[in-house]
Amino acid sequence: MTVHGPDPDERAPGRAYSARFHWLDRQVVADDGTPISKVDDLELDGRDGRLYATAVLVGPDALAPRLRGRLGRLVAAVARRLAAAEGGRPPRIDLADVAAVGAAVTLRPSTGDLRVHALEDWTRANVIERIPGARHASG
Amino acid sequence: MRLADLIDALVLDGAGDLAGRVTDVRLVETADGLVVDGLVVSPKRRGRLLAWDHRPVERPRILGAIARAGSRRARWVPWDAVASHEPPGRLGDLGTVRLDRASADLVPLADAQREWA
Repeated sequence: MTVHGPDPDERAPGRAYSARFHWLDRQVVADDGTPISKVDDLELDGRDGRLYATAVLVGPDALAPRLRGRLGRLVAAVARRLAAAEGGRPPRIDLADVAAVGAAVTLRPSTGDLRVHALEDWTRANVIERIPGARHASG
Repeated sequence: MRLADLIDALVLDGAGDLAGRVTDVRLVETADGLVVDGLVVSPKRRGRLLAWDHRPVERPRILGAIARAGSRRARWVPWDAVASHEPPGRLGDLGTVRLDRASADLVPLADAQREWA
């Protein structure tokens, strides 16, 4: 008989993390393991004299502040262009939708369409699909 | 604000002297949410690569020795020691964190990690 104990990666009061080790650049996956994006930054909100992490931020607009100097400003400029095409909202995953933090950051089953692939969608529409023969590829 | 505003930020102690840069942020789950518990601050560039708020590397011994050497100057700054924090003035620049105490009053990271274990 196999006995399953509590999930050690599950979020629970008292658990502590290193932001760099446990969160930043970790893969974000759906509850079924489907890769979604990676953690590019965390949104922080001040409340009652404390600072709370309130959301996972994904995409080039989230990554740009972590890149220093001109590279960061260039990535941010690209992100603004993409955000304008998408309606101006950078992708954000509310922390309440994060169920577990381990080798990957796993979302709860109820998390809906996140629309986090703006760069991938733009590249597919404006670069890949314009390559001769692109529509012949399988899959 | 964002975590990126804290990571790599310049840290000034109570006297206004440069204490180092933020190399990591410790987050703790509470009943009210995921809260910033404090900062890991390293004065030397070498230490910034190795000073993380994570279980210290013990084995293999040579890696443990390298990790200890790289992070021995790292200090733990509990969030209540932060007097103020300012985001970068321009994207790509560094933020600033100001402490309410002198650098000499900060606990070594290794001591803090032992308490957390």
